[in-house]
Amino acid sequence: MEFFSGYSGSDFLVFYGLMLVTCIAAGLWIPANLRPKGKRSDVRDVEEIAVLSGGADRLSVAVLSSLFANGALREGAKGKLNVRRRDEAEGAAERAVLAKVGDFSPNEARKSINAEAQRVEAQLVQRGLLMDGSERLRLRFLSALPYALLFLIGLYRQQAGEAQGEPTGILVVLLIVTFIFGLIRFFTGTKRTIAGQQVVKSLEEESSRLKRAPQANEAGFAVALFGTGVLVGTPWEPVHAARQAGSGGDGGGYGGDSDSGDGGGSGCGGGGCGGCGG
Amino acid sequence: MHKNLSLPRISPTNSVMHATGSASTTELWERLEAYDIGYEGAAFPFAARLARENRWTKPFTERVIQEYKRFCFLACTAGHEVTPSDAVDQVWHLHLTYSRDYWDEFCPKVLGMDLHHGPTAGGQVERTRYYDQYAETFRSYEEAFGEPPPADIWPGAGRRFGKDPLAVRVNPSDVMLLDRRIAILGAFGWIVLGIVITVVIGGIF
Repeated sequence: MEFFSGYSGSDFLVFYGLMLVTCIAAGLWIPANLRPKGKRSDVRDVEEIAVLSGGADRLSVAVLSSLFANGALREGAKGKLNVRRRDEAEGAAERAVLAKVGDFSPNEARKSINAEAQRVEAQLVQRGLLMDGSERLRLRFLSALPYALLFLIGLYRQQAGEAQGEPTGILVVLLIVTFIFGLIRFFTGTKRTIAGQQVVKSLEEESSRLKRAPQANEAGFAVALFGTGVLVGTPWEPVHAARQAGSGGDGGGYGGDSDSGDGGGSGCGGGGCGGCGG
Repeated sequence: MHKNLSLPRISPTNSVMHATGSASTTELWERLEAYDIGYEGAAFPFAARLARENRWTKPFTERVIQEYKRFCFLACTAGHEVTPSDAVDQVWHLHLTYSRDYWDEFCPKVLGMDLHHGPTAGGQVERTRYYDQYAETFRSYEEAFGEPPPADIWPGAGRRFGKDPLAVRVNPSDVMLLDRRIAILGAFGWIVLGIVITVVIGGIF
């Protein structure tokens, strides 16, 4: 009991709480600032944007959205999708999806395009927009290191306190919280370099319209950049619902409300509100 | 400077689209910008009524009216039917009730054409049609004004077609209005307070 021997139980809890807050701040600062700078370059197509923004998973839903919006896919049974027309394929990823037979989920589609996603990812690593494997691992360890150190200090104090018959229940709870936060920090986070982050940020700023109301020919691009959330309220929402069904979320329903909308224009002949009198 | 920013970008497409009027698109926009909706010198003007009916602040109301004018501009020039956001639609609805102003002044003298309001007939086909129009309106807006529509007045499709149509007319003298987030927070607070009281009473007795 050399270390922290002058701290009472409550003193140590206050110290631990402050250190946990510091760790949370460090866990945010490290991945934001200590990732490799990379090299700034333009992305060439929707596949690159999807992999840069969200990896293989994002590529699969972007491809599905694009195909669904142009009529090559349709809604299948139990929230799945199936192929309606096979002549719409542009590129290897779309060909891989349109080769599928019967109903399939976005997860199954993802398996079909894994090879294409890996090829695109390798290109982005080479161009300095994504980190390579060793860089990612180093950043993961660096990001989780403050939590690991704090966990060890807390564990040491908890063992010592328990040996002396002190109550350690609150400290154990804090240790569990630290451990979970550390795991989250280690296993989550983007693979992008700082240059890759900048490219995505500028694309998002330029494309705010697509985040709210993409047109059919823009659905793949919008999903590549922002995810399937942009499909909520659009005619292509079944892709979002299928994605959510696969991840256990609530897919919502595009068809639920069918009487919303007003329009007008010089060519509008029907409808019209009648006059309400003077 | 501000005026220049708000002026629509005049493209050859816009000029061609403006087939029904005799003036250029710039003149159309200038007429729209200069137009005050409603009766001159009214004690309770159009903007105040709009703000009261929608519980909007004065600055927000003025911004929505500005967006309504941009919407009308697109209706005349975009070359396709246009669909407004719910907020812009509220301006349009109220303007239509000022029927003399709308049909005798605004349409013929400002727009140079009749601009009819067409509510949806309902059903999935209409739903898709209105979504397509909404998305196309966004694209035309960006082309004409050089910027995307403001997100707080022109929300995404999920809000526009999923939540906004759920709005109902209520009278605050009959019902209590409470922000959903405050209601949830308040309920949570009462539950916590109940637990604390239970624990304290249990500790005492």
